[in-house]
Amino acid sequence: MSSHKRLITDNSSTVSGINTLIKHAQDSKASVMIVHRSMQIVFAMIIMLSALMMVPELAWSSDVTAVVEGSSIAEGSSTTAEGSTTDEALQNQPAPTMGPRDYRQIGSMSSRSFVWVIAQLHLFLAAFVLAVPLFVTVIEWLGVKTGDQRYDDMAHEFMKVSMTAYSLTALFGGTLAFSLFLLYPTFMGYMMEVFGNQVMVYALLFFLESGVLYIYYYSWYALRYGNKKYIHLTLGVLLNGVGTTLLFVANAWATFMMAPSGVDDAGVVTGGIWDIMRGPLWNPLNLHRFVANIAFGGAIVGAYAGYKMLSAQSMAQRAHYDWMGYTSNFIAVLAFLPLPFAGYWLMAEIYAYSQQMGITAMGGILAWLFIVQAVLIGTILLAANYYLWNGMSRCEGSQRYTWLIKYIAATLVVSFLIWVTPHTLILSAQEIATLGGSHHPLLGPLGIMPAKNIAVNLMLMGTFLSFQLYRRSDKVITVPWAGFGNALMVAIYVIAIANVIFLGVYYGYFTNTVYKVGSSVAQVMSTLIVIVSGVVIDTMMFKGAKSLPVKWGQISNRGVYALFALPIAFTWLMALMGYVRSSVRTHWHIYTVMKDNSVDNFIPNIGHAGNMMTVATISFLAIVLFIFWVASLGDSKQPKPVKIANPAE
Amino acid sequence: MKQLKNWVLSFVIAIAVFYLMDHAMMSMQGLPLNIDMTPSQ
Repeated sequence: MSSHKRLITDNSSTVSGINTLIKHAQDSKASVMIVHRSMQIVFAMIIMLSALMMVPELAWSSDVTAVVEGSSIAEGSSTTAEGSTTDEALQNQPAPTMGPRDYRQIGSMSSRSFVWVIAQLHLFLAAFVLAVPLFVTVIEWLGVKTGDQRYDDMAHEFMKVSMTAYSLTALFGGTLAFSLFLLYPTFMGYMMEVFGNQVMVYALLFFLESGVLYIYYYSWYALRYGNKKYIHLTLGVLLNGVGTTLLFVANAWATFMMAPSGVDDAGVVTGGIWDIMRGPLWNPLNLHRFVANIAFGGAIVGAYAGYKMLSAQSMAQRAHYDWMGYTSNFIAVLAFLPLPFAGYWLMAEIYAYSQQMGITAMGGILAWLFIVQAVLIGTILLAANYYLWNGMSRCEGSQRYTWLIKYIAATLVVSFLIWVTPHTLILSAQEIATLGGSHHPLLGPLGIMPAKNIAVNLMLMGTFLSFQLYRRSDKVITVPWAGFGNALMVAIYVIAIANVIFLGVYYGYFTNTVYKVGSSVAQVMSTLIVIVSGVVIDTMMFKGAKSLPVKWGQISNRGVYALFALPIAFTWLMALMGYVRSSVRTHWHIYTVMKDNSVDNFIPNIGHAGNMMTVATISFLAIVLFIFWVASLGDSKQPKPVKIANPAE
Repeated sequence: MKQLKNWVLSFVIAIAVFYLMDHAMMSMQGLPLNIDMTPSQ
C-alpha cells in the first residue's frame, strides 16, 4: 500500500515536474521569441542605417544642409560683422595654396615615405580587426544552429588572435594621425575644415567599437548557452554594424581626396557633410574594402591555423587546426571570388569620374603595377586551389573527382600566363626594329583587356569548381534527380566557359570598342551564374546525402604551406593596389582642388614604390608573427618549480 | 534514353539562360547583341 502511495506521490511529482518543465519551456520559448524580436530590430536598424548610407540620392542630406545653414544664419548676427558665423566663415574659405612652409620633415626622412609606411601598417591591421568579427559572428551563429561546440571554440580562437591586433591598430592609427598633423599641418587643417564634426563621429564610433569589442570577447563564456547566447550574438551584430560604419566614415576621407564632392573648384565648401562624403567613388570603395577585408582576414587567420597545425603536439590538436585552416581558406577564397568584380566597378567609376585619372592608373606608369597585381592574384588562386586539392586527400570519396584536377590546373596556368602578359614592352630602338614594331605579334592580342577578362573569369570558375569538388568529396548524393542535377551543372559550366570566351573574342576583337566594355559585364554575370547555381544545385542535391568519413589532420604539410602563401600575397596585393589608388591623384593632395607642392609631388619610379610596399609588407608580417606568438602565449603555462633538496643542508 | 533526355534538357536550359542573360546585359547598356559579325552602329 505504502509503495503504491509512494508511486502515486512520485507520479504526481513527476506530473508536476513535467508541468514545470512545460512552463519553463514556454517561458524559455517566449524569451527566445523576445530575443529573436530584439535581434530582428537590431538587424533592421543596421540594415536601415546601411541603406541610408548606400542610397546616393538621399533627400534628407539637403534638409540637413538647410538646417545647418539655418542655424548658422540665426546665430550669425552676433558673431561677425558680416553676419556669418565663424564656422560659416571658415567653410567659405578656398583650399589654401601650399608653399614650402606648409610641409615639415623629421630629420632628412621623406615625409611621404614615413606616412606611407605608417598608413599602410594601420590599414593592414584595421582591415584585419574589422574583418575577423564579421566571419566570427557567422561562425558563432553556425555553432548555435548546428549545436556543434567546435564552431564556437573556433570562433573564440579567431577573436583571440584579433584582440592583440586591435590595440596595435589603435597605436598605428594614433601615430598616423600625429604624423599627418605634424608633417602636413595645412593640408590637415583644410581637411578638418571640410569634414568638421564628422571626425568626432569617427572618434565616437571608435569608442563604441572598443567598448562593444571588449564586451563581446570577454563575455564569450559568460553568455555561452541558451538565451544568453542570443544576447552575445546580438553584441556580435552590433560590433560589426559599428565596425563597418567606422570603415565607411574613414573611406570618405580617402575618396574625397580622389574625387572631391561638396566643394567647388576652389575648394570652398558648398554642400553639407553628406554631400562631401558621398562622392562618386565612396560606395565602390566601401564595397571593395569591405569584401577585401574579409578575404584578407580569412587569409591571416588561415596562416595562424597553419602555424598551430605544424607545431601541434597531438593528433587531436592537428585535426582541430586543420579544420580551422580549411575554414579560414574557405572564408578567404569565398570573399575573394567576387573581389575582381568590385574592383572592376571601382575602376569603371574612376574612369567615369575622370578619364585622365583612369588612364593614369591603367595606361600610364601605374599600368605596370597591374601586371604585378596579376602575378599576385594568380599566386593567391594557385595557392588556394593547391590547398584544396591537397585537402581532398582527407577523404577517400575524393578519388571520384581527382581526374579533373589536371584540367583545372592547366586552365589556371594558361589563364595566369595570359593575365601576366603585358601589352607593350620596354624596348630599345634596335629591339623595336627587330620586332617590327612596339607590339609583339603575340603580346598585342593577349596584352589587352578582352584576353585578360577571359583569363580572370576562367580562373575564378576553375577555383569554384575546385571548391565544388572538395565539397562533394565526402558525400554520396541520394536524391532521385541526381543524374539531371549533375548534367545541368556540367551544362552550366560548359556554356558559361563558351560564353565567356565568345564574348571576349568576338566583342573584344571583331566589333567596336564600345562592345568590349559592354560584354565584360555579361562575362562577369556568366561567372556569377556558375557560382550561384553551383551553390543552389549542390545545396538541393546534398539533402539526405550519405556522409563519408573525413580524416582531419591528414593533409600533407606541403598543402599547409599554401596557407602561408595566401596572407603574404594578400598583404603585398593590398600594399600594391592601395598605392595605385592613392597615386592616381598624381601631383594633387585633393584632386583638382589642392595641389601638392611638396618635394615629393611626383609618382615615384616603380622600383622605389616596390621597395616601399615590400618594407610595409615585411613589417606587417613581422607584426603578424608577434600577434601569433602573443596569442599562443596565453595557452602556455610554466610548471611549478620543484624544490631540489641541497645535499649540503 | 533517360540520360540522353537529361543531357539535352540541361544544355537547352543552359543555352537559353546564357543567351537571355547576354541579351539583358547588353540591352541594359543600350547595345544590341549584334551577333551577325557586323560592326555596331
